[in-house]
Amino acid sequence: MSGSLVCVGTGMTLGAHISPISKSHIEQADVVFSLMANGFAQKWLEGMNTDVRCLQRFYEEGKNRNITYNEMVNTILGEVRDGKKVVAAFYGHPGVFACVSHRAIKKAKAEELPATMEPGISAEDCLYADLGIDPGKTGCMHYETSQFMFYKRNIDTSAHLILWQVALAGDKSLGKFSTGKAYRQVLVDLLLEHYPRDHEVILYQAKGIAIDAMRDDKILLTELVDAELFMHTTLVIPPCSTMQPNEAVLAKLVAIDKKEKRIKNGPELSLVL
Amino acid sequence: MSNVIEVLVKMASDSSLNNDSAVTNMLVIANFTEYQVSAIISKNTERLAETIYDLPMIKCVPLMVPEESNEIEIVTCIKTFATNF
Repeated sequence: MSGSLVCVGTGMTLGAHISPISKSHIEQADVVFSLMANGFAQKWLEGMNTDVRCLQRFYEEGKNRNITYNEMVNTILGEVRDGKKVVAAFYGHPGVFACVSHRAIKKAKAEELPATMEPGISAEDCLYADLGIDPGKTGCMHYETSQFMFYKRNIDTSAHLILWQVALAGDKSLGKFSTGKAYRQVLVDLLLEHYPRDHEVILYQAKGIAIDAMRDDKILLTELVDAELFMHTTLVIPPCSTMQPNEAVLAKLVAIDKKEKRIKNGPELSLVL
Repeated sequence: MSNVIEVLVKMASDSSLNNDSAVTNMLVIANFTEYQVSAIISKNTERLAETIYDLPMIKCVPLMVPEESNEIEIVTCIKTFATNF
């Protein structure tokens, strides 16, 4: 019998965010591999299936996460190749800022093994609800913090800028669990090229269990260097400028509108006597 | 499943448990110790964690790798697998 892989998201808050189909996949799997954000969630998962295997053992401080993630992928795929119905459960959304699921599915498909993904409620979803931000209002840009630092980006200060994994800002080694003040200062200096020093930013953390409170600490941009950051802390930078009209595009659209109106109204007729 | 976990799931999924009084009543019915009730009402995660003797340790949350240079490694892995098979 052919094995299969389903990567599911358990959501951010234990028990509140998992979809019925993801829950069913976990309950019916032969093997469940897990990467949860806290011990409560891991324990909860272990109550849903008798064979839950935590992938945490692959993590080591100083070890390149690329190696860690490839080891996780190989472990997951090994069971799929053995013909088992495998579920890989990740906290949040399995496909958002989580490369293990993408790599595992890609590799399974390359070996012609069935592999799919079921979404979960992500930190981004919680952020919009908790902070009252509508990404459609003035736009929203999302970057992994280190990638944002390593590459030149066009920053639109009239939209929200959201930087994920800010505690690992500037980590080139891929082996650290956090970086220090010197790294954060580089990030702040980069942001100060676009934002004023007294710009208010938000440190956000979604709640993991029912008794947690979400974090929405408002600080000045320059205070980021000394702020308490965790692996799951997100930096939210509100806009500091207004949207500028694109006059050239607007003029083109006005011309189209006029043309369409003329067609709709038909040719102008004059009365000839 | 641990009764602490069951209660956390219930608190996260039952909209009627939206005040301390309702939560306390539910905890009394669930036969929670005073220490556990106090931990939950004061929203003290660390104290609550102490009441589960075999709570798994989480070293690291899943993190994104900033550069997708791993694409090459995936191809290498597939080739290795094909050779070994």
